Parts: sequence; structure tokens; C-alpha cells
Amino acid sequence: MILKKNVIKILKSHYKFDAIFDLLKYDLDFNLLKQQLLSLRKESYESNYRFIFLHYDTEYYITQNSPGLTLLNLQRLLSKLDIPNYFCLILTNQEIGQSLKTLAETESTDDVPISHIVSVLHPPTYNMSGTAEVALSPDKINSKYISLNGVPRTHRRLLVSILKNKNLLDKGIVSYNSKT
Amino acid sequence: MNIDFIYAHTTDSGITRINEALLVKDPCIPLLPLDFKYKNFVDNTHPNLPDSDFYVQSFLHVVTETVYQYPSTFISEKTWKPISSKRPFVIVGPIGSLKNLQNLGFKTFGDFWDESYDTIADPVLRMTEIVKIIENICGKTIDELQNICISMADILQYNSDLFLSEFKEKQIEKLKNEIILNLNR
Repeated sequence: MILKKNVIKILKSHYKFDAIFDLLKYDLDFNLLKQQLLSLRKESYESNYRFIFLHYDTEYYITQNSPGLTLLNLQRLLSKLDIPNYFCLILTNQEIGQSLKTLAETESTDDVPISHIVSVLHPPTYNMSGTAEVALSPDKINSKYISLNGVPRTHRRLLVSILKNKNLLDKGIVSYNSKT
Repeated sequence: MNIDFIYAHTTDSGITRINEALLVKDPCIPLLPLDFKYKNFVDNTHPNLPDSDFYVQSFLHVVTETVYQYPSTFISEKTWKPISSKRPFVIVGPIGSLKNLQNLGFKTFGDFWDESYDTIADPVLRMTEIVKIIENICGKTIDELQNICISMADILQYNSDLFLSEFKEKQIEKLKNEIILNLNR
């Protein structure tokens, strides 16, 4: 994911940073991030320097109450590389404050958790909010509901199973596990 | 320098979202096969455009968000589609999804159907309540749904206006404010 130029400009007007790291890229191998951070690690940082991470994809939770694996791996990596949490910032669309606090206590000797800012200004939202207004057009309604489920996921499978069981599939526009 | 990273694909659980497995463990009905495919319409416009025929021709948008049983709300472009298409919606997503949207300034449809599903932690019960809304809508005629759409026009227009005009600017302001707070902590 690449942030929109407008958002990057805002970040640049306040912070100094060398790169923005999309955590999704390291889902399968955090050693790649390790190599990149190693090359940027310094003895000291200016007060407004930040390592900026994007966290806009789904987390992997082993249990409902423990931090997600992506954030766990990130905190472990920062601790091992001796990069202070203070100089790190996560942009996310999820409420991860408690997870970061827990990780600072369990995986780090830092006094402060990694900072995060919840912002929905990632490209899909940013792009859609710039589209033209459509008319209400109630007269165009000819289907009772719509549910598009291109990527199969458990909750979508359950929903479509129930709709099928209740003979409701053909009352709406529905797809499951199929490109729309 | 060795670091013990943990990856979802190598954990003993072997599952990325263990809480979603609860749905399979205790489903309320027999589940469709894993390889089940279904589509009851023909593509004729691009599905990612808010004026796509799909969206405008449909009354209720049943938004199946990226995640469902999840410790945080998660808003993706899926939720913005009905808002920008001026259509009502239910969200098959994490508990508190509607509340989160309301906190962002959007209005939902509690005056037209029961939105208490948004507060139900049990994943199967939450789904059951959402399906009740869909069932109720399916019991109405197209004429009735067109009239309901007219009666909720104020909400639909408000949400569309907010999303298309002020929302991005408000979010940019919020980001700037949070950056300043972050720098001053």
C-alpha cells in the first residue's frame, strides 16, 4: 500500500523519516524488515524522527485477548534492534492501543508503547471519497438486497449458507467465491 | 542476530483467525462446501464505482466486511460503497462497527430496523440477528422498499454529503492534530 501524496506531505511537514514500511509486506518474513531497519538504525535520532509503519491489513490473532502476530513481531524486532518505541509510529485503521501497551510491557524494556494514529485515509477510502455524487433514484431499485462476497471468508460462508437455507439467495444480488 | 518471529502459517493452530473458526465449530446451520461458488447476476458495470448498477438497483446493502469476529472494528471500502451510493446497509462485521461509523459522524438505520446486532458479542447470534433484518426486507415488495428508501432520504443524503465532501478534510485535520499530539507527548 502506498499512501496518497497528500497524506505523505502532511507526514513530511511534521516528521523526518527515511521510509514508510507497509507491514503487510513482511507477513511471511520479518527478516526482510529487519534488514531494512538495520540499514537505517542510528546511534541517536532527532526528536521528530520516526520509523513509520502502515498497518491496514488484517491482523493474525491466536487468541482474542492477545496482541496480533504482526504487531508482536514488530515489537520484538524493534527491541532486538534497540530502536526505541518513541521513534516509531504506526498508521492504522484498527484500535491497537491496548495491544501496543501489552507488547511494550511483555516484549520491550521501553517505558512507552509504540505510538499509533488511527486514520482511515488509506487509498481505497481516499479515492472513493473523491467520486461524484449519485442521485437517490429510488425508482431504480429492483432488487431487495445485495451482498457481494468475492473472497471466501468464514463469516461470508456462514451468511451465504443461512441465506441459501432460507431460500433468500434469489431475492437479492449475491455472489460468493466468485469474481464480481 | 536471531529473533523469534511468529507467523500465522507456521503456528500449531494453523489458522489465521482462530475466532472465526468458532463459526465453523458451532454453526447454526449446515455450512456450504468450502469450494461452493455462486453468482446470480451478470456483470455490466465496474463494481467499484458508487454509481454501479449493482449498488443503485439494490435496496439493502449487506456489507460483509473483511473481518467479522475480530478485536477491533475494521472499516474498508466495502462500507463506503452503500454510503456513496445512497443506500441503507447492515454490516456483517466486528461488534461495534455501526457505533464506530456513528462516531465518525455517519447516521445509521435504527429508526427502520433493529440495529442491536451491533452490540452482540456472540458471532452466531449476531449473524442470526442480521439475517432477521434481511428476511424482513425480503418480505416486502419492491414498491414498499422504494417508499422506505424515500422515507430515509435525509439520512442517505446526509451520509453521502458527509463522505463525499467533508469527511476527507475532517480526517486530514484529525491526522494533523494527532501528529501534533504525538510530537508533544
